[in-house]
Amino acid sequence: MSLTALIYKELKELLMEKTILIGVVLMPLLLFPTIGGIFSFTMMEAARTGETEIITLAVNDLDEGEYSKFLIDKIRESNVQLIFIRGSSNLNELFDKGVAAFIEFPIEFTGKISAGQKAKIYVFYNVKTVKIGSLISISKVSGILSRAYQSLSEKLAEERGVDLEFLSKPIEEESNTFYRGDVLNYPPTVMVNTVLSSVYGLPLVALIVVALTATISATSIGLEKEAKTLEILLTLPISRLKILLTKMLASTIIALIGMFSFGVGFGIYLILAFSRISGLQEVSNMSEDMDVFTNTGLPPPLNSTGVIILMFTIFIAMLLTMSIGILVGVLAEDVRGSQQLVGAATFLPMFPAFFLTAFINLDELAFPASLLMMLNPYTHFFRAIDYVATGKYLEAVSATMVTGLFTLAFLIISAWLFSGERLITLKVSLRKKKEVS
Amino acid sequence: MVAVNVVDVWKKFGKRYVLKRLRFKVEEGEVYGLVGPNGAGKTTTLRILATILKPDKGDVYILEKSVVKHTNHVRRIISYLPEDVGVYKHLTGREFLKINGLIQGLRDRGLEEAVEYGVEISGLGELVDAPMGSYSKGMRRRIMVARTLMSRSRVLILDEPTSGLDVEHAVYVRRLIKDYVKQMNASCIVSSHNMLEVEYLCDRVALIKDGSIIVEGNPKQIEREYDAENLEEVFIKVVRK
Repeated sequence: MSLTALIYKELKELLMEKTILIGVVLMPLLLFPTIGGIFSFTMMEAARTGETEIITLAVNDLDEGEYSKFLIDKIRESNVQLIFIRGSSNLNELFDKGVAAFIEFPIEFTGKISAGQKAKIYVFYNVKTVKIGSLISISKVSGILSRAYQSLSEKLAEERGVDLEFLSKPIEEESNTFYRGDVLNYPPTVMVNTVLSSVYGLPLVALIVVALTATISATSIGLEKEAKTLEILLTLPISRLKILLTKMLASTIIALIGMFSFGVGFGIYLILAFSRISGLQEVSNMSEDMDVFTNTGLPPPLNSTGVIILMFTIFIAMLLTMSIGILVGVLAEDVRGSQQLVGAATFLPMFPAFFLTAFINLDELAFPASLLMMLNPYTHFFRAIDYVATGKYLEAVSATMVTGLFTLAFLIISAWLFSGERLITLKVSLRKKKEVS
Repeated sequence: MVAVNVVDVWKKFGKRYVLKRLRFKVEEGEVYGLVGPNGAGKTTTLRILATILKPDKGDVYILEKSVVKHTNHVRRIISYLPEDVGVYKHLTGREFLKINGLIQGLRDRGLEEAVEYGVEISGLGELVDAPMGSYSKGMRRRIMVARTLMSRSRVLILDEPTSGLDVEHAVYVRRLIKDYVKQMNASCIVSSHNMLEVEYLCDRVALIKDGSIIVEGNPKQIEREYDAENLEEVFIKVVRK
């Protein structure tokens, strides 16, 4: 009963706290849809302008040969307006008139191609502003020119009786991947991308939530210190461990609300922002990249045991980060101090562990460096994920247990600090102490 | 019966001793006052009694239970009011009283009666259902006094109980404390800078300086001993020595 009362107190105080309510609950619900809406609107506007706008190109054909004329005809087929220039030209004047690009065919363009040599063509793109609209316009011109060059290649191949398709790609590779004892009929890059996105994607999102949990748990203690309510709480007939547990539980509940808010906000962002991408494939290859993951039909990289171990690993990492948050809250002087410290205390070990585990084989590191890495609790979390991805479940559980031991150590230190008078006397802050006059 | 027995307590922060072989006793049904200049060690003494700080040497027994060895038991029989205490700004006064009652082990009818008693002595009326963040300094102090008294603890530890209260409410709170001790046969240790308050409330007073008690006794008896008109005069004479 007393625990329920304490949890109620924690939840009400934390949820009504402006920094938590706005930062954790409301901000993701407002921020992501707003960004998605703006992104969607920008893309729509850019696409609409790109679709309706007739591109004007300026051409200076100094060659006036067969192949330059062939290319110009092919360019014209792409529904563009062409302005022909004779002699020298002023780019400033041309581009002021709204010309998207200026193309110059030098003398001997046709001659060089006829002689079997590479010929040059000079293209000056008009970039008015560094915006998505400019990118669309540039991509369109570039696409038109690429199609014209391809047509010229096909014409030359036909004239010379050459099989262009064969010459450009004489070898066809059938890529297979040997993974965890199975041969898969897919290129390894596709397989690795799929595994990375499904196995590492979740922990990375979880880490955001985890970092949030640390901030909340640190804030819950910081609030007690700032409001000077801690002295009363510490004289009540309830164990310090119970006080800590209620703070952790309340932080978890708020983190879950935050995660839900984050999920809803981010979902709306994705719907708003990327529903437009499919119509803009010339602009971005993103949708094709996305299709790779969904259309490969690869078997799921994790079986049910793997998923359970992965979830367990993430849960332990959440507890670890929360325990760091509690420790920071105990050490810090107030809410501001705890929020400043918690970022440093969690992200500083988290990022090196993530990058080093992703790019370096820790077992091959020299002794002092490997020891340093092993002393970082997040190393074991990312190693566990590595093991899960490669199906080494026993090793994954072992690494998670080490993460758990770190969590326990932090909790013991926190409880030790919380149970004694250090809680009242300890004051750690990143800010400079005010000078006493 | 001795309600509070402070036995040769030493306490230091850093290299400085704040309490030096402090010893005194408080009987059941007695109000005991701790007075002294700033930094004398009054708040540290009360914090040790309230189990927040631990003595470096010596011990304190509350109803025969050591604050060092039987901390949890002691917390069940004391009620502490710190001098500089804040409120949970999003909880209402009533919610705060109820949560405290629940943590102190009160249930059902007992809890209801305690909360109603707390509401009544706080004198906040309908505002008891408003968030405590909206309370004035005086209202915050009154809800804290109500919290301290509502659980009917046998030992009260009060650090500047009327701090921040206007004259009318200060008089009301003093009377509350006096009546409480009488009705409950409770013991009370009060720290205060207000000599009038100490004279009105306390059966015995200890003047503490540099972590040790230098004068102890009944207020009237001390005044006679120092040939002073009131405790304030005694205080000035002793501190200037």
